[in-house]
Amino acid sequence: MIKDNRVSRRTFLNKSLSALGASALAPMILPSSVLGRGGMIPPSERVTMGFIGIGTQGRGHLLGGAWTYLTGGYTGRDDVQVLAVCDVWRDRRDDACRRVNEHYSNTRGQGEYKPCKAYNDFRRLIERDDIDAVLIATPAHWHATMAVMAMAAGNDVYCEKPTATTIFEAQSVLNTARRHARVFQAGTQQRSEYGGKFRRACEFVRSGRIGRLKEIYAYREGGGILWPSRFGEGMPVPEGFDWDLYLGPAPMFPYDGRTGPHRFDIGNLNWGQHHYDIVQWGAGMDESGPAKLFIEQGRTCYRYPNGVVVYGMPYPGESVGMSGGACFVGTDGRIAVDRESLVSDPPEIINEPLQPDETHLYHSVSHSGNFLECVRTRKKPICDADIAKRAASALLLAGIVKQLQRPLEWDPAHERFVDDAEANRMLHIAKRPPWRI
Amino acid sequence: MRYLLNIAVIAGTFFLQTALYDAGAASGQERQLIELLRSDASLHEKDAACAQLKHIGTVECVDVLSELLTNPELSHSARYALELMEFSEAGDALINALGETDGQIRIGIINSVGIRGDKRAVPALKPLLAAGDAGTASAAAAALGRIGGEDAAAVLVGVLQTSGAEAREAVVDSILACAQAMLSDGKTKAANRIFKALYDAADDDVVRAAAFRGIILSSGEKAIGLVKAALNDRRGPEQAAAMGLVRGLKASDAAEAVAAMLPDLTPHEREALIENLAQRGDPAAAPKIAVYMGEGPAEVRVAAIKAIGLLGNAVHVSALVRIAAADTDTGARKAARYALLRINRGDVNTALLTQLESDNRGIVTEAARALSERGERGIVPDLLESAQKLSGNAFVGACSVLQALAGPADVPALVGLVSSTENADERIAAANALGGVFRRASTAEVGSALEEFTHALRNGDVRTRVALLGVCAELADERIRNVVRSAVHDEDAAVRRAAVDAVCETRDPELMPELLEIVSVTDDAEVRLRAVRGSAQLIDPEVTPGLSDGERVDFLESVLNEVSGRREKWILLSALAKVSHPRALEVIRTTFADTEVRAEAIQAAIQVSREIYDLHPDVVETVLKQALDAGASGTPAQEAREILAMINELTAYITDWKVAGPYRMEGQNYAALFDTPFPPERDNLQSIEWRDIEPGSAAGAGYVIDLLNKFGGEQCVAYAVTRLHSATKQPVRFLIGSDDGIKVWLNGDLIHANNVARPITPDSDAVDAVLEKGWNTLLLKVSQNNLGWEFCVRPVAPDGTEIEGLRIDST
Repeated sequence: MIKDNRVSRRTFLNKSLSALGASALAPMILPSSVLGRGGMIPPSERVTMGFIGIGTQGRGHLLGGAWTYLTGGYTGRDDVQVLAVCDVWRDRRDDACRRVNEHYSNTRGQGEYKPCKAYNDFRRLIERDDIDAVLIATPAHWHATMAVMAMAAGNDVYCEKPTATTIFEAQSVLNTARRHARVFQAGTQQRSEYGGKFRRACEFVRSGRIGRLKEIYAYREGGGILWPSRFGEGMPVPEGFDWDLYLGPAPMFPYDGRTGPHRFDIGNLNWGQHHYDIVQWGAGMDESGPAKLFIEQGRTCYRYPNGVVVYGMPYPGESVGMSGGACFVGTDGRIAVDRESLVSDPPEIINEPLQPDETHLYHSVSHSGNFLECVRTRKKPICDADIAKRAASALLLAGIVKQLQRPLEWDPAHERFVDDAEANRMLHIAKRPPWRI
Repeated sequence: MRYLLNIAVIAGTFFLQTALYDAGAASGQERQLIELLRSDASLHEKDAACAQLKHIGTVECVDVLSELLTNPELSHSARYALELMEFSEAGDALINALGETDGQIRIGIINSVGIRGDKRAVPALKPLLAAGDAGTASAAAAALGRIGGEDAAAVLVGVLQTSGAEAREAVVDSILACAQAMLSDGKTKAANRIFKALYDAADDDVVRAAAFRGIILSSGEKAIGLVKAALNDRRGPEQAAAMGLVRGLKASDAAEAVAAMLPDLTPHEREALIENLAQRGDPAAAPKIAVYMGEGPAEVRVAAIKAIGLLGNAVHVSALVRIAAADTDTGARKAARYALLRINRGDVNTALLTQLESDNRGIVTEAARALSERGERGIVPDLLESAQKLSGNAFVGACSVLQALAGPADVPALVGLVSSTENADERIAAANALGGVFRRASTAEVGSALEEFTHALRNGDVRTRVALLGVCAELADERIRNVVRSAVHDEDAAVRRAAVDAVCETRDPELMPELLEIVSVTDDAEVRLRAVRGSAQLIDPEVTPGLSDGERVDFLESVLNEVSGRREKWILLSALAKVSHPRALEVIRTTFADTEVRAEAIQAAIQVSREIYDLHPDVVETVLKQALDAGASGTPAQEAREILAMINELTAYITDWKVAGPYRMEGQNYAALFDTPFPPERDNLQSIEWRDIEPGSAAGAGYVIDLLNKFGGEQCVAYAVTRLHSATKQPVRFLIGSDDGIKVWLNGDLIHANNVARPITPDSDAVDAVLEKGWNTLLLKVSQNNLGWEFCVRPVAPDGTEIEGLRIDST
């Protein structure tokens, strides 16, 4: 019953280009973008990308130096063509655009590539029908809103953490990804990078190397978002900066000189999803979440439905875990992991290689590479939207208990607090129109 | 500190929690907030009141909030409160406000109506789909999509053909959302009708892909046929959508049926389908995928090899080993090695053991690698038995597996293999297998299994003894030690060489004298160099965890005294540089005069100094000044000066403190606790249980006192006390940094109070006071919000210069 009565842009152009002969389809010169959107991208075509947010994080992704773990960033990859960059700071977007075009001019030759273009408004970027995927590295309060809009417009999305600032946002990101058959990769790259330390730790835990899992120390507490006081004297908005688009879903208030990526965060919203992503992975809770949340020693904690308790604090005396990690405690030992180290007590727990009949988890050695593979093959990314929803939820629910300072009961199946109207009111925060999820 | 921005709201929340436990108090609180909202209070106050009503508001507050919905400046505040209130009156207020507002205010209200998911709002939203402005129409469509249900879907489908271009994306997205919700609710047929209608009306690839996905998911048994058709017949968005669904198709025969299409696809489509079948995890697809392990472009082959690792069985082992051993494509070889670690259906180990008997060395190597890395020790008895019948590559391969997997109980059998083999390479391989056991197991674990090893070491033929001496370095056992000591003087030259090698590589600290003797008496430069390297290796804490730093330095000093070559001295200085002990600095210093190694000595001194300058400032200062005097220049000189500056800084701050805490109080946060007196500021200081604290923060500043490390926690305070002795009555300026707030008392007088939440900035607060002649008591109170909790204090003269003769003593 597949529809046959249309000529899509891709099909039309394929036919037209075929008529021109094979030379017109020379690989690595024509970006896939000219062929439209929505179909499978063969290896002979580059994945065309747009970058939204070119601050420290976004620039690292775009040009290298951080986060893609590849010299030259996505721009340096032969299998990618960067077609657009976007930032509310004019100098950032113009400089990034110039750098991308210089690189392509140097490596691919003048006139042999489609130039990168700079945008102030991301809506103009995501509406382009020649872009396959976007990378979102904006201030945190924008992430989910942009991800949802980009996916609805037909883009695959790599989104920096936190992938959501409210539970509703986390749900909406997943629903939109599924509804539009989009590839979504959360920027919780620890499942792929750092030499596989995090994966190995979780495989050991889930294989029972520490016996029955009892407790997990997440090192950081929950987090969330709060809008600030909206009234008061402002300052002149700097030339070349779009304050309105910086605020986006946040209520409008006078410019006050603070334009950081995490100005509306509370708690550990920035780093927390890294920690809780690993907590969820090691606990085998990618399809579930907290059941009871509470405060202990002034820190947010929760209990999974299977009884495992997660503490939003370091394991006493264990320094390994602070940089994005966790410490898993079982009946027969414990394993602590972070970006620098993987250790266990007793030490031999992690010395024996993982055997074939033990639990093996999704194996990816490059987070950006995994994303691009999935864009091409439509397979499930290692940090897909369902995983991102649950990891973000664990962080955000702990953030709610942090704010309410009292025990809460959460139903992870229905994703509602049980008989707790006040807590359920905190599942979302009103956005400034026209922004919505 | 991140809560700082939101102190007002958070503090309000805390306050409200207390109130919530008392219904009467909550009601009173709500009444006050309602009155405030009706008063001429400031916008800021009204906004804050709305934020509190989000938590405690009841139907009582709906009227006043609904009035604010039309207020351009407070509409957002009212929505903030009303949006998720659980009672219908809140929804009514929002729905009613739709007719009283326009523009962005109405769009915000529409969005909030959508967030509530209230089906009663459908009639009110319907006319807004035809609003003149696209923003309103889009918002209304999106709200209907969130609300879902058949009524909302019908309304949306009704405007699909008439909606303006700008609102159309939202209309389509919302129709998809409605249909998806129906699918989740089991209303498959209704969902299918909507998806089909949307698909037929779609005029772009994005919608077509989404609608086609929905059609597949709502087509029950027909889903496989649709997926196959899309994979096979199209090259557009339908194919991409279908591809992503392969892994989730419900039919039990889906994997086999879809895999049967592989021959009909292009290479890239084939690669994608294999990847998705691998994620599906159904081994039924394996036979059809395995064909492509050796056929087609590299990308397809690699995908097939990886998939067979997940889905394949013992039958695929020989092909995987062949690829791992000899494939011309690096990616394929790598994928095959990984697949051999993962593959786990059927008797994989027996299949791999069979490969060990191959005549092809590469095959044997790869099979051995796979068996070793799979780590299944259960194969060791079979392997030991078969090794006795093997020879050549096969024997060496078997030994390499035993090297990885054998345990202490296998030591006698392995000794037997060493003794019985005639071939030199095989003997070394068998001895290496023993070495593997010794490396993995502790000396205690192998202790009871060493009798036969020791016996063969003493009484075996020369070839056996030499081979076994080759692995003695791994052991720290008295029996082995004694054999090695006597073998160093054996009448057979080959045995002597092997024994010297064993000493040079030993991990046994009891053999330090022998190692030192080799360094001092050998006239073979190469042997001496190896002994020096062995000395450096032996003092590594990971090799000899039982040695003290002092013992490490003593040994290295002894070796250093016996060598004259530049290379040997470099090695020893590098080893000394890793010992964080003042004695290491003393020994390093003795080589400053040696021009051949002066640069290395200075670098070593700097490395040690960085580690210990805060604990041993005097020694470090002396040695680094000597290094500068000895001619340090360039970067080393700069580094030395930096450390000296840090010592000066360190000694300028007060690092001798006693601390007490943490102190908390129910319902009080750090800001409130700041002004709540606890025993150290209420009672006699002598009555407080003061505790020691070491200076130094996690961030590395040696002069910072890290209370978080000492006490942990949040929303609390702690106290610190020390005494300063001044020769005269004189003015003083305390330069203070703190995370978070800080109060300071000098001799009982409060001289400073700064109730803040902040990260530490040394010297951020300057406080002038007067020191009395004699002992002065300095008491601090430091508050803790969250994250860091630390402080630093240094006393200077009012003009910033050092105060001479000041003594600090916290006791």
